[in-house]
Amino acid sequence: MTQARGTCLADAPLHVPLQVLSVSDVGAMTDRLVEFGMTPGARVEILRRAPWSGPLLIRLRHFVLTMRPDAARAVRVQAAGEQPDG
Amino acid sequence: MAEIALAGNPNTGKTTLFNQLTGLSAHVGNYPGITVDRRTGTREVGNQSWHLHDLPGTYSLVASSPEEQIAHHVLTGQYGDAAFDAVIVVIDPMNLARNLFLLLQVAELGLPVVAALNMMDAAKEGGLSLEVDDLHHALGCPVVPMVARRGDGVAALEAAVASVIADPSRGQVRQTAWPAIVDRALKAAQSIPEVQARADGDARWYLATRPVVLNAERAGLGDEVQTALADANIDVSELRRAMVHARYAWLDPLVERVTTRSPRPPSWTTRIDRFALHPVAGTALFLLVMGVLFQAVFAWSDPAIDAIDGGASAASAWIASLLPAGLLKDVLIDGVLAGVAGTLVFVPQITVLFLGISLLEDTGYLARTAFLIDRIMRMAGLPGKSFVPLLSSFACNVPGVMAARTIASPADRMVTMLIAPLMTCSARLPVYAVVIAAVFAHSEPVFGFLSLGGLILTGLYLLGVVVALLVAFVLRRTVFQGESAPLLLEMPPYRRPRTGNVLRVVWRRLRHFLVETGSVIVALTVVLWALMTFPHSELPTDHPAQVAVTTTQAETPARKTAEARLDHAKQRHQLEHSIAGRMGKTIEPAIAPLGFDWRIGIGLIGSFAAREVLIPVMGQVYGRGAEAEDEDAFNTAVGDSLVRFSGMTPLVGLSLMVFFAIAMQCMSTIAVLQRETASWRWPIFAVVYLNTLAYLLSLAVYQGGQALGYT
Repeated sequence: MTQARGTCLADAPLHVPLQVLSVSDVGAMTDRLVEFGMTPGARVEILRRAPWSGPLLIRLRHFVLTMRPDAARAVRVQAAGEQPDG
Repeated sequence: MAEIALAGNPNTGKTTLFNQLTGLSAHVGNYPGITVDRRTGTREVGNQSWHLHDLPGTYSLVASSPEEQIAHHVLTGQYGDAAFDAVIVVIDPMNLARNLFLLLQVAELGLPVVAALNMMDAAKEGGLSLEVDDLHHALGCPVVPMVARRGDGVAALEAAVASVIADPSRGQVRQTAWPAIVDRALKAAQSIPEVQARADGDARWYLATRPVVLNAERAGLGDEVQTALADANIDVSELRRAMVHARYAWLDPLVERVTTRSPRPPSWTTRIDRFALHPVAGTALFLLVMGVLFQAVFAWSDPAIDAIDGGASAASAWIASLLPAGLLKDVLIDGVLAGVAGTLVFVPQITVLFLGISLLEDTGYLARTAFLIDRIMRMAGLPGKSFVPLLSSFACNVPGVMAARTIASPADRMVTMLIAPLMTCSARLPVYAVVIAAVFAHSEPVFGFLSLGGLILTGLYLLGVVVALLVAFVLRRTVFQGESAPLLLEMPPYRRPRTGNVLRVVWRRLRHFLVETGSVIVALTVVLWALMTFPHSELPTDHPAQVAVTTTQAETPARKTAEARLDHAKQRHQLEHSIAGRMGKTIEPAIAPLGFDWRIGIGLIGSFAAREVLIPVMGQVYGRGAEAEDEDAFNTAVGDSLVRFSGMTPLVGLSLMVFFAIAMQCMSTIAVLQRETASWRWPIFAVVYLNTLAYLLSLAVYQGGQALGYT
C-alpha cells in the first residue's frame, strides 16, 4: 500500500527538500490541501515547527503555508529526487 | 449591459484591480442571509457599459468557507445574477499552477475566461520569467500581463475582455485530460434528465455545478447524481480527488514549459519571517504589536470619544433650547439623540481598531499572528484568528464582535462573537471603581503590599477570560459541534500597505456600523427611555422637597439648592414609579438572594443601555448628585448611597461586580450581534446565557460568602 511508503510530513526533518508521495483522504481539510497543490510529486519543505506541537510552516511549490500537525499526518513524503521504491 | 465577474485567489491584488476598473462607481452591498460584502461597480467601455462583480477571494470553487461558497453561487447564477459574459481570473504568476487551478474550475462551469497575470513586477523581481504567448496558446483563453496597482495593462485587459464578450469562444480554455473515472462519471450523468435536456448533452457542467454539495456533505450530490454514480459503481471521494489530480497533471507540465525561475537570494519575506515567526523573537514582536493595537483602541481614542460626548451634550442643549418642554422634546433628546450619541461614541474605537486590523492584514502580518497564537488558542478550541477580536473586546465588545469578520469558518466566528462580551471592556471599569471605592477602599493590603481592590480587579478580568474559555469549550461540543476549521493558511509575502485599500475597509466598516447597527441602538435607546418615563407620575405637593422650595425666599442661594433638590426628587420619584422602577421592585425577590435590593434592581434595568450607565441611574434612584461638584464627588456620593440605602457590604459589592463581569448589560453589543449574525436568535441567546450565568455566579458568591461567614 502507498500508506507504508516514505515518512509522514508531520515527522519529516526540517529544511530538507521533500516530495509528496500521497495524501490520504481524511476530510475536507485534506481536500483543501490537495487543491492547494499538495499532489504526488509536488515539492515541499518544512521551514519551521512551532514549539509544543504547534503548527508547521511549510513551503509548498512556491508559496508558504501553515498547518497543524494533524493535517500533516495525512501527507506521506520522501526526500526530493529519491526514486520511489516499488 | 455586459456582466463581468472578477475571480481569483486571495492575495492576488484582485480588489486593487476591481478598484482600478470601477473607480468611484463601486457599490458595497450584502449577499442575502450572510454578512459578506458584495462589491459591484460599472465601467464604460466605448459605447458599452460593463457591470463588474468582485467575488470573494478563493482558492477553489469547492467551498470550505462561506466566502468561497459565494464565489461558486454567484458564478452559477444561484443569487439570480444573469449569466456572466466574461470572468476575469486574477492570477499571481509566482504561484501559477495553484492560480490556474481556479481558472480551470471557472472554465469548467462553461464560462468564458480572461487570465489577468497581475503583479508582474513582483514576479520579475522574484526571478520569474514567463512566456506569456506560450501560456496563451496552451490555455486558449486571453492572457494579459499587468501591474494593477500602477494601472499597467488595464487597457490590454479591457481589449481582451471586449473580444471575449464579442465572441465567447475566445474565452474558452482547452479541455483538461480527464482520467477514466471522470469519463465514467460523465457517462453516468448522461442518464440525468437535466443533462439530457441540454442541447450539447454535456454532463461536465452538471458535475461542476455540484462541487459545493459535494464538499459540504462529502457524499450528497443530489439524489439523481448520487444514484447515477452509485449505479456506475463510482466512489464520490475518489472522483473528487481524481478531478483535482487531473487538473494539476495537466497544469504542471504546462507551467514547467512557460516559466523559468532564476535563483535569487532569500526574499525580504523569508528574511523577515526568520525573525517574525521565531518562537522567542517572534512572540516578543507579536506581544509588542498586539500591545500597541490594544493601547491604541483602549487609550488613544479617548480624546475623540470625549469630543463626541461633548459635542453630543452641546447638540442636545441646543436642541433643548429650541423646543418647548414636553414629551416630544424628551423623546428627541433622551431617546433619539441619546441613541445617536450612543452610536457615535463607538466611532473612534472602531476606526482605530479597523485601521490597525486592515494595516496588519494588508502587510501580511495578520496571517502570521494565526501561526504564532494557534497553539494557545487551540487549547480553547478556537482558531488563531479569534485572538484579535477577543483582544479588542477588552477595550470594547462592539468593535471586538465586528472584528470577528476576519474569521472564515462560520462556527468559529459565531463562538468568538458569543464569548466576546465576556472580555472585560472599559465600560465595566467605572462600575468596578465606584463599588471598590465604596466597600474595599479601607481594606487591609493583602500580604502587606497588595491592594485588595487591585487584586479584585485582576480577578474580575481573569473571571471573564476563564468563563469565556469554558463557554467556548461547551459551545464547541454542543451548539457548534465539529472540529474547529483546520488551520490551513497561506502566508502571503509582506507588502507595503496600500493606503486606499486600508481606508476603504475602515470606511466600509464604519458606514455599515453607523447605518445598520446605529438604527438598532437608537431604537433600543428609545425603548429604554420609555420604560423609565412611563407612566408619568407627579411628585406629591406635600413632598418635603416641594415644601422646601415654597418656604425659602426666592433668588437666594438657599432657594437655588432647594430647587436643585426638588429637581432630583422629581426625577427620583418619576424613575421609581416608571415601568422600569416597578420592574426593579418586582424583581427584588429574585435578586435578593444575590444581595441586591430593588434600587440596585432599577440600576440593573437602566444599565442595560450600557454598563457604565449604572452609576448615573443609581444617582437618580438615590436622588443624589445635587450637591456633587464634579464626577469624583458624584461617584463618591453614589458609592455612599449604595452602602447607606442599599446596604451594600463587601460581599454584596463583590456579588454585584461578578454580575457585571458576566452579564450582557449593553444593548450596543446586542445590536452589533444582531447585525453581524443577521438574526435576533444569537443576540437573544447571548443575553439569556450570559445573564443566567451572571445570576448563578453572583448567587454562588453571595450565598457561599454568607455561608462562610463573610458579610
